[in-house]
Amino acid sequence: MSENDRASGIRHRLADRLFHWAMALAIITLGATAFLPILGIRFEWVPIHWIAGVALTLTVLFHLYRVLFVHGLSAMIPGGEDLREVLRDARRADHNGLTDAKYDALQKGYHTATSLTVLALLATGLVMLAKIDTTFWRRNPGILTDQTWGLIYVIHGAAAMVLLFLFLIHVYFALIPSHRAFLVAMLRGRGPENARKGQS
Amino acid sequence: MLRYQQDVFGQSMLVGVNFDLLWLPVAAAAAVMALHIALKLLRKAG
Repeated sequence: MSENDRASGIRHRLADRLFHWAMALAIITLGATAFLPILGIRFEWVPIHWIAGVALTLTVLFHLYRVLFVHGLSAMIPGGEDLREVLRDARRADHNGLTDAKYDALQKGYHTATSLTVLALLATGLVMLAKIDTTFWRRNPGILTDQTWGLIYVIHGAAAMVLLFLFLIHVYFALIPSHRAFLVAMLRGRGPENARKGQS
Repeated sequence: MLRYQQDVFGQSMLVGVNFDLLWLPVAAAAAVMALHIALKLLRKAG
């Protein structure tokens, strides 16, 4: 994000906000089509699920482009300063001497956990496309052994349950009053420049 | 934790995680929320 954007109070640009909500829509669709049939609500979930999965893959590729060529990786990767922040918070100490940061330690930790979980889901989900017929390709489950398929399903299912947990706590923390400004920033763009203020 | 089925040769075959555990991520999220609310109330009181 440019200095001009920061100076005008823009926390998230339109492209990044659109990515966030497109990803949210894809993940909610994937979660609903994955878990509702397990809960006994029967419908033709497979076509909706794989199409939403491909849509999620495209949004993640778009996000990776934005990260690598627009924002840079450094703002979101947890480091030593984040560990110091967590330790100080645990001791209920102030943030004096810590650097300002767009994302605080917990936001970075959450993002890292979610990224790894979504990447695991996408990697296994894309392989699982080989098990269904579509307009674009014929099913070919013979590309892997039964044992490997079992492992793919375990990783996909376990990651889906982890993502359900992450989704629920994300919604909770997005809705609490003390985080309202971050939710507004993801809707309208304008918001706090830094989630961590070093008070230096 | 995991689900197995018998293949055509009668051997046990891994087919995925056991979704009877679907309550687990929901309960874990509820626990995190409850902990967060409790900590906030404690800090407010202290």
